[in-house]
Amino acid sequence: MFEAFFGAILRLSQPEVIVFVFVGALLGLVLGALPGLGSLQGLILVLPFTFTMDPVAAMFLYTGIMGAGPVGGSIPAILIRIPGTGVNLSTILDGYPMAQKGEAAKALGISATASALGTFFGLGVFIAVLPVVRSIVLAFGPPEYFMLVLWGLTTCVIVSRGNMLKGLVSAGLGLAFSFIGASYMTGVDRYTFGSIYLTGGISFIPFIIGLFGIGEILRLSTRGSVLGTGVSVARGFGQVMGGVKETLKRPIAFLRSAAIGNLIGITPGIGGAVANFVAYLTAMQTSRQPDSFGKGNLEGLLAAEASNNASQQGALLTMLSFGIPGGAEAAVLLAIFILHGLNPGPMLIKNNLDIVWALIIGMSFANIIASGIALLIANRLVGLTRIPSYFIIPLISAITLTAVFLLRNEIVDVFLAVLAGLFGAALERNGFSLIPMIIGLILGSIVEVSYHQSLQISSGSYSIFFTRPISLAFFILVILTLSLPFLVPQLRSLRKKVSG
Amino acid sequence: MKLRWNKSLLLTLFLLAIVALLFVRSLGLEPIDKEVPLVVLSPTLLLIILVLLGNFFPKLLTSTRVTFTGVRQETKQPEVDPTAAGWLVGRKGFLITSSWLIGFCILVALVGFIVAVPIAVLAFFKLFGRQSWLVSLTMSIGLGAILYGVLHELLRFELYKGVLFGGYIHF
Repeated sequence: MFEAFFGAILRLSQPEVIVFVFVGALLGLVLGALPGLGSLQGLILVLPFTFTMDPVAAMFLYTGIMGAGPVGGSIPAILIRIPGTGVNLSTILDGYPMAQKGEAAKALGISATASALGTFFGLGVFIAVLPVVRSIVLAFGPPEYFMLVLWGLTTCVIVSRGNMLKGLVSAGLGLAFSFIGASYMTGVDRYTFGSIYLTGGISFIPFIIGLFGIGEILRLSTRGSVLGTGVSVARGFGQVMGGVKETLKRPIAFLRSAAIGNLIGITPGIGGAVANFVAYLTAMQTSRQPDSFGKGNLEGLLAAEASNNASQQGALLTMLSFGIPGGAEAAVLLAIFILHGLNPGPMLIKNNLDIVWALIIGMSFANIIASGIALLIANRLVGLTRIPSYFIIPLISAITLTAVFLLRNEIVDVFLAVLAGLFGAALERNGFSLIPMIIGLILGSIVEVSYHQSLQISSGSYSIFFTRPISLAFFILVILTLSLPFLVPQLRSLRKKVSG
Repeated sequence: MKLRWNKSLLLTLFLLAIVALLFVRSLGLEPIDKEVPLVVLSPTLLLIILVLLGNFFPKLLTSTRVTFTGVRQETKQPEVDPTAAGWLVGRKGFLITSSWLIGFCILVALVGFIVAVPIAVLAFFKLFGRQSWLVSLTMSIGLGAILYGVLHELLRFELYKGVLFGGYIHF
């Protein structure tokens, strides 16, 4: 195993390979920074140019793109509240409020550092679990998925800041929207009202870009400038380095988020966006100041950024080991592998371990290049927050909506994004938190599918959710999470009485 | 009890209509297809009715304005930058931008991105940004050229052409 590992490192030291990874990293960084685009489009874009290339060299280019995409995506997420890629959705929750407080440079510093370290973590896990990956993946069946996702949904209770009732309504709406489209069980159209477009369900990336991106454009138009009143933007490389130091000061928070991201990345079919949210919500649940999340909490941003990079490595691990994609990018990469005559699965691990290592090291290298570039230019990027709103509104709207179209070459996605933006702005203006809606929308279909699959396995018996150890552990977490809003005030008053 | 016809009430009624419609549609589905949706839609419907009642009994909403730690929170309204251009702030700014976004969508649907982007950007800069012709034309043509050059020519992405130029829309 280590022979192949060192062989891959030697291969990576060749000048042409370095160029491929560097070009891939730059492309991934730029595409990631363009809202709505990302590594997925990058992979598709370079595909025609790699047909005649050596398969391993081509793989370095692909992993370069995949590794750098999330780093680029965090830039617009922090500066203008528009997630660059799907895996940067929860970056906006604390990254943007930090920018609003004048700490954009620090936020970019945290993001780049957490991304780079998340990649190292993913690489470490890859080395450690490659021999035992099969048993880990097989330990997660539908009941475990169901309880894991149910636990994610219960966190809506916590993130319903401001008004719990309205937060729960928002979560219910998100879940309801996730059921739109052809049923996973019978294939029957549900709630489509005869629309061909809705048969495929509400595409959540255009919806979320609309909800937050276009919604932010609308909020910007009421506020008049990016940062609102009286905010002085702290610039200077010292601010960026401050972000680096803040990340390094929080090893536990980092390790926890990277581990969650990696584990969910390994789990097939869930993908980076879910990993991103679960890591964020776990950071919130375990924090001493959960109320400060969504208002510029450093740990919230750190959790989001550490998890999305670690999840990519996890997804790659599953794809290479079993041929099962862990997310959209991994699915495209799988197709590209097959086009290049490589068949991911146990035989690839057995016969071409050097390629497997080359891919994972290439991806790590690309992520570090992208994080380094992001750190170097972070100070200059902060200047974006000073551009007047009448410049930002038309330019960002036009670019964002063009990118939304390019995601699926679907013009109705553009209308959906604008409608979602108007809807989100109206909801937020009236005290409805948008975060529970997004959680519901992303996790809704997973919860329904895993619920029915579990019941099929158990012939209709609900005991399957409580008799399997991992599933039972998640169920206990669900109960604990639901009781926390009632328990915490009681515990606080008890503590006051004791200390008084 | 006092009926207050405000935006919040209208929004709540709109949400109620959406969820009620989905609920009614669920009833006609196969049991396996409606089981989970009904488990979600039933409490959501009840919660929206509670929010609706909150418009008549404001104390109901105030009592649920709590967070994880049990602390009550007030909903924060966006702050307005007093130094910003006066015609593009507050409700007027919102109406102008939302109308422009809807107009942009209609324009894209009709003539496609390559034509719509420069026209829409020029209109915003000139009418709402109140910029000079030089700035407005430079920005609009510049953005259009970048989108065309980078996305269409360099990256070979097929941009939507618009129904007037052979594009089609599947609703």
